[in-house]
Amino acid sequence: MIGTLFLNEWRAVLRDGSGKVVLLLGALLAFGAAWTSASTHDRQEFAQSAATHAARSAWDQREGDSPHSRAHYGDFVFRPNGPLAYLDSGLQAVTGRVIYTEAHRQNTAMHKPQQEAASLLRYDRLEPATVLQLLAPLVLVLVGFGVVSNERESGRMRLLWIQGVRPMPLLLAKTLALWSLGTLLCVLIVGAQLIFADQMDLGRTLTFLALHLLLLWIVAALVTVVSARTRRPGTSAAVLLSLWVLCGIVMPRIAAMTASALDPLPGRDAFQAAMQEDREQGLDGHNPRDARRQKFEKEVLAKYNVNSRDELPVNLGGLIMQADEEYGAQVWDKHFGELEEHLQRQDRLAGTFSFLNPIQATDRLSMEIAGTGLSSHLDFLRQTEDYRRELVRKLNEEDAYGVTRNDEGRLTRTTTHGFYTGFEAFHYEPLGLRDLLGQRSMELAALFAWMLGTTALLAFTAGRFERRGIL
Amino acid sequence: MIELENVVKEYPGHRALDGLHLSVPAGCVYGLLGPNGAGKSTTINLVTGLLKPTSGHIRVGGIDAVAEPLRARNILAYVSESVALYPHLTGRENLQLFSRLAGRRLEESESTACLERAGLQADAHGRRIGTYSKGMRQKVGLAIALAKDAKAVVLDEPSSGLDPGASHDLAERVRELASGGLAVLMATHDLFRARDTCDTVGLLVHGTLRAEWKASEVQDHDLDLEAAYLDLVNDSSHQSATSNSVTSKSA
Repeated sequence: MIGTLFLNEWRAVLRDGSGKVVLLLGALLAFGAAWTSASTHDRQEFAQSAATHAARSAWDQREGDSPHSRAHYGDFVFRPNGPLAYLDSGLQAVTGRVIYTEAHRQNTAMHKPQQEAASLLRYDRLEPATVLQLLAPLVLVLVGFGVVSNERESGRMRLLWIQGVRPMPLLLAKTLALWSLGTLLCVLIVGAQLIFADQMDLGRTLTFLALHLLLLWIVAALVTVVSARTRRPGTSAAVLLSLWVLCGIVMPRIAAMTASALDPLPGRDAFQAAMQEDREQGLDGHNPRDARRQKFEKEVLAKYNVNSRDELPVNLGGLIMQADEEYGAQVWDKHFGELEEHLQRQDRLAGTFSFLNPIQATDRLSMEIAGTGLSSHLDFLRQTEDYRRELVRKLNEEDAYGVTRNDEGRLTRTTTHGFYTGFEAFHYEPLGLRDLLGQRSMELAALFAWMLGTTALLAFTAGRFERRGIL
Repeated sequence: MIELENVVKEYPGHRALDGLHLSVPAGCVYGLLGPNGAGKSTTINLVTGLLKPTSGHIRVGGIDAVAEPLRARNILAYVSESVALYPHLTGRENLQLFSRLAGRRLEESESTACLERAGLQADAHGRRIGTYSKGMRQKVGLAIALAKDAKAVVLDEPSSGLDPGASHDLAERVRELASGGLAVLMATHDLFRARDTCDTVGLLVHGTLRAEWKASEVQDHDLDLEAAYLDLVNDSSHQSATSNSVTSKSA
């Protein structure tokens, strides 16, 4: 019975003019989104590759620098696109993907195409994730708002009932038909992307597909339930479109605003000022900087068992720079750690809205699967800072130890050009899928709760028809 | 075949059926007459299981339609005033679909036979329902009933909106169904068609059966069904008004 009803729904879609239009639009959207996303992705990859090459060449070809000058010259760090950025570019456009690394300073990311956009509002791009999270549910609403209420209004429900159709198989068949339409859109969109993309992470792609199929099941079940519980198709359409606007447009904004209002982040200037203050005053705020330097110098002289800087076999300046760098790193760790904790707290607060909005849960999980979400960004910042510290440490140590004292007692540098060209460029290692999903257990729980809830609602609605009759 | 025994259906603040007794044996066409709001549709909805009675018993082919609704529906067919079919399907496809839902897979020849028995011309079998007249849709509805091998058929205002030719044609098909042993319960406003088609005519007013006439009474004694109908309906309305008036005075 379910199969017969299911096939009949598909026959209606394929024979009905509006059904064909919806399918055609869906296919156009799939290929449009795949093409625009892939071309943007390719353009970015090309530009990034060129910039990486240019930065490396400039680093390699530079001459006459002391190691510390080279630490000030710095290096550009480029974050590669997330493994599935062509399906979901996530927060990349907001968070930025290029960081200038240098001695003494931890810079923020540059090149943010959406510098002015609020961090959680990202639905302004035609990309596969947007189509699957916003437009595919809308397609299901438009195709399915009358899926049961039309049967009732036209009087067909009576005939179906008399012919022995029971409510649960009827509602299940309607839901499955809608879901299969969503599945077709999903497969078209992801499949089209694979045509344009030159590489594929199968595990992530299948997880991405499964996630969106789960969302579309929730939407299909919800559309069927609303259509079954409203007397007229017009009412059903109004209710479902309102829900779509609420979940797709209004609630993500409310979530972001609520999180900002309840737990506001410090402004960028305040954050920098606080860090600067600690940098100048020391961690405990009692030891003047000069005193620390004098103490450090005495420790070095004692270590080398000499009385003055001129007798040292190393360049004291390099050691001081490294000590200063390590102190700066502690300050950064303290402030960035607090900021990261704050960001994650705010993120968790915004994430609780996933229990109210399955689209939001899907959005957050989708970004993480694609490697373009907040966790990946914070991980990129950490890996960049690790790279910067290592780079500056090597340069400072060369500044300190890449010297020899000549017969006249003067320090001369032994650093060769090969030392600089031997540096490995930054390589970002994306977080594994399991780690990323592990950080989104709340969203996963919310989505499964939605799936169970809507399926239970379907069964409850069918039971109600069974008990009270279908009128 | 269709039996209602002391059936009561109440809605909040309103009693739609008040102890209705009604029996439609196999091979009989029973016409249920009554003014708007008399309870005809409620009776049809109760027999077809679309509604549950507040009290009383409903049996179809001896099966308790309230306790075992699926079994009762298995032997029951239904043709509404405006048979609602799927517009994207042809007449034949609709017949095949609804038969399959009832658990019967029809061969092409069987569906043709059912449609022809229901009186649908052959050139319409493969046309989409959207191009059908109301009468043609009702013939598909009858074909669905025939294909189901039902023991009883319920018709809800079947002649409403049909031209005289189509109405006459439908009446003939209904008679054919009954002569094949089916029990037919037909709610209608059409007194003349009821007189010509039905074996028994019942008049329902304010949820109670006020009169029941056999065809022989109507035809042999040349009973003026319209005058009898109007007398009883007006009388009931007067009694109801008086009763309401008394109730309000005593209150």
